[in-house]
Amino acid sequence: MIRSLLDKLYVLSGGLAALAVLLIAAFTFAQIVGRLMNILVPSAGDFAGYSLSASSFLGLAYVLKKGEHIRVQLFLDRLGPKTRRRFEFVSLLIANLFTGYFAFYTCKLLYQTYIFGEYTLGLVPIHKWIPMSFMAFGTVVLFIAFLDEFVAMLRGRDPSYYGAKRDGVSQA
Amino acid sequence: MELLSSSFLLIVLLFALLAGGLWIAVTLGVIGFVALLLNSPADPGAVMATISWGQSSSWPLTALPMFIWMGEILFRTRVSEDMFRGLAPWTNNIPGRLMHVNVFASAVFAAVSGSSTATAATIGKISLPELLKRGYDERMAYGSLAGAGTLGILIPPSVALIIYGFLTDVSITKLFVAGVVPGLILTVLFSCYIAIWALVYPSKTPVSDEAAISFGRRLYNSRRLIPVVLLILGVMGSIYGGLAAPTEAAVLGVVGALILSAVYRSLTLKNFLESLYGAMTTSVMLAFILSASSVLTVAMGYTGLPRDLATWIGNLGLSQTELIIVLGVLFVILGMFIDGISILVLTAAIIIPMVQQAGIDLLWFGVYLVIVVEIGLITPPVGFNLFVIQGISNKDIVFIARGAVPFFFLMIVAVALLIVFPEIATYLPSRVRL
Repeated sequence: MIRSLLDKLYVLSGGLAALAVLLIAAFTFAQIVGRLMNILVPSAGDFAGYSLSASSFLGLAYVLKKGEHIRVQLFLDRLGPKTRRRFEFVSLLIANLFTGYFAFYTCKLLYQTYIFGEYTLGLVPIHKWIPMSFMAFGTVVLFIAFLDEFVAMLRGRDPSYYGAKRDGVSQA
Repeated sequence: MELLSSSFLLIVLLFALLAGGLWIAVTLGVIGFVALLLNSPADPGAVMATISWGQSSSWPLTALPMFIWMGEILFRTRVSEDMFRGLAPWTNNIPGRLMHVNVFASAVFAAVSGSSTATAATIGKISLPELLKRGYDERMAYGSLAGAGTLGILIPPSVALIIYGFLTDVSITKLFVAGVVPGLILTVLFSCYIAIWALVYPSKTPVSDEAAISFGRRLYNSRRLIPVVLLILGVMGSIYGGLAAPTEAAVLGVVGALILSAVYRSLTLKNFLESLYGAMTTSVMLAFILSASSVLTVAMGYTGLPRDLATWIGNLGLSQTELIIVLGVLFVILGMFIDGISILVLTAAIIIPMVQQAGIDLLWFGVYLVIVVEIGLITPPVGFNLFVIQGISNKDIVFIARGAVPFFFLMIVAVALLIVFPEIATYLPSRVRL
């Protein structure tokens, strides 16, 4: 039950991240077409930027599950399964502490921004907490995903990103 | 002194965490956190959240997912096959013949792709089977593809140049202009080497199985290159012409690639979604590192390490050239173990102030850094182009790396040329009004 809910959460937030990439293209394309027709599309660049931000944070957990967050595998790959598990355990512990801490502060920043009622700069000002909420949501989901992996290891299973296949193409 | 020892500890911790396999973005974030905790009066968490938010919505950075997406769409079309067929007839009279297609096709694809691994993968999936089927030398086929594939991040558009521009506030457009000539020089170097190699070892190039083709016939075959050339002209032309910002040009590229994909009949919903998710995945991975690196850069500012390092280097009395060479050696060694983006990011946080202090032109340094990072793509044990070719060929990575050795030296030659004649990178940007 919880398992399938968690997996749905990662897929959902990954899907939203992909949608946000599409939105970057849409806003920018509107800006180009607008310029050709001598119409100013207000704040298109700003909204493209917020879409990038949303995508960057919303996709974090999805990309973790796919095993695409880059790390130095050189030594890990040379370790025996038992030692490797120990290293993996420490990595996950640090990652949990870090992302938990970070997620707490993104939520705090979101809360403060909401309370102060800040607006974005630009031609079309919007409530700043709206684009910022994706950062908070994405980092919280990332924390949950790391916690999920950590719990899996405590239960004696391998992290789910072990099985994910790297296709190489998507590396920069 | 105390400052220096705490900085030293940070650097030891950095490499220990990286080597231990902690995710690179998390590593950078943790180091940033520790540096802030030790040196800044503010609450580290609040600083980290504010910086991450501030840089995450940067307009210039939106070019990143768009250029990656364009490459992902093209990867899923038969554009690489067309490039092979279009370029192949022209290599018939050059010693080494079809081997040159690896180089030329990589250079052409690099002009629509911002990534070296994507370039190696796209070209390799067609050229490697074709070359091996015809009996070309295996080692050279892998080596030249590994080497030429690195052109992906030198010939604009370039993920590495966008990231460098973002980190150092150098104009991305100018960097794109600056990368062109060095990219062409490398292309020529690679090709010359293949020709010389083919003349020295004539037995390693199979006898031509194709009848002599007339000039008109060759031109007719080259019609297959038209879509790619149009795409390059549209995308890079609009940037160089000052008509479009890099992101806008990239979006035009995405639209163009989608049209191309439709014409090739490969525009299925599945391909579309795969390319979109692929672009999202890479862009998120990069954004996570960039976000952490922005935190690290600010935190490093608090530690005073970059400043101390700059003063220290200043006191050593190194000339600019000596400093550049020392840094180059350091980067090449680092490049054997960590990926290029991490090198760029670490450099920006720690080394850029020093480079600036020494009076080195940051535009030139960007191009220099990218070539050095390219070298890291083909040096084992960690070289992503080697991994890509390993993925296509299932060959041992040592075998592929050996094939890439000559190309390693050719890139060193290119670096040397760039140091001796800095105009290779700086002349063109100085002539273009942007």
